[in-house]
Amino acid sequence: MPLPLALRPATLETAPQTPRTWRGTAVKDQDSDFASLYAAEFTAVSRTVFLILHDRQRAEDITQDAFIQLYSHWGRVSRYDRPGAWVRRVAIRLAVRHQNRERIRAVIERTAEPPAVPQPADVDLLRSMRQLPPAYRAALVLHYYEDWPVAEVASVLGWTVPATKVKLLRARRRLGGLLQEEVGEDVG
Amino acid sequence: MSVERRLREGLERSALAVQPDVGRRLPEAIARGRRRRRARRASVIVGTVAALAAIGFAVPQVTSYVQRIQHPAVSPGPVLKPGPDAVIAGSYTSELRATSQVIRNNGMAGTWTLRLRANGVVTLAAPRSFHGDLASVAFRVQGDRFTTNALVNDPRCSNDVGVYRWRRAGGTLVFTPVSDTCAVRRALFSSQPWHAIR
Repeated sequence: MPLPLALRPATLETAPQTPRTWRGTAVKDQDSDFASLYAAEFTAVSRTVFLILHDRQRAEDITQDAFIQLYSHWGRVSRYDRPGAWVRRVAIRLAVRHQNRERIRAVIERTAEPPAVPQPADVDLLRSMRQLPPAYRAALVLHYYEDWPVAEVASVLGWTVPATKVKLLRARRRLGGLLQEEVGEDVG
Repeated sequence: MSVERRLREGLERSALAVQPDVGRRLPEAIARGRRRRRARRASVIVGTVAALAAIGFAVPQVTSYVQRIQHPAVSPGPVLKPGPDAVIAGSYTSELRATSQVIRNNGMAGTWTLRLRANGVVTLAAPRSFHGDLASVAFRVQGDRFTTNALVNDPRCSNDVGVYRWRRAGGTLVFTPVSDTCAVRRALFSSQPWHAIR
């Protein structure tokens, strides 16, 4: 869906040539830069969060919270090389924290029906992943969906690299058993 | 199929289930982000003002305290120069009992030590329960009159001196108040006799 006209990324129409001396202009440029990043990243981040939470609405809400944090720190984070990576990390941490808070619910979910996920989702895979602890789920998503190296997964989840490798292996073995698929040993 | 391949393909496929309405959510993100930024700035300003106020309050207090520690003999209030007071110089002790409200209310009950030096300097040691400023001060003896500004730094003594009649019998020193507006000092000096330590 196209962005509302007032919020559409305006970098081509306006500012680069305009000196940012007037506060209003600076604010508009800031909003348009943020809007560009939002449009480019929101869907991807919310998909990653969804794969951790398996709840589409909550995934979008948590992603929204992460972007709100990004906006409130935009003056600083916009100077980073990859502001998108910053918001993605925040969203993943929020998602894992949320899942940890809801551990009791997670225990109930193990025995409940899988969430209604529209096709073409791999329902069996999602159902099996729901039996893993939230942080293991996050590790699998970051490594196999986001293609993050193990060191980066470890950094976001607050684990050591060897511990992350062990946990990924355990998670894959558990999934292998549940899905009756063969499990490779290499992680890297 | 291996688990690894199943994960890559299955997660990729499952992620497509999420199709957020970005255009609808963006204005909300900006509006809430602005509110959060304003709140954060406000809390920083409030915190800074509170810190500055605390510093503004604490610095004079600390400076005053340090000055009192470093220059205990230099106390605000009446100046009382030491005189030829060797006649009652010595160390004395007195056991204050909680017999009056002043002693009870000010935590004065217990053993006090009074050292009167020949150069006219008074040093007091109080029981732990007493919280007051005992910085070294002065006394003067003129005939049977004993004048001191002991406890002059204590707000309860309102910057004044106390005048007592003194009498010594053997190792016992007795003070009788002549004029002293400070109830704490009056209770200290005149409630019980003082006994010479040596």
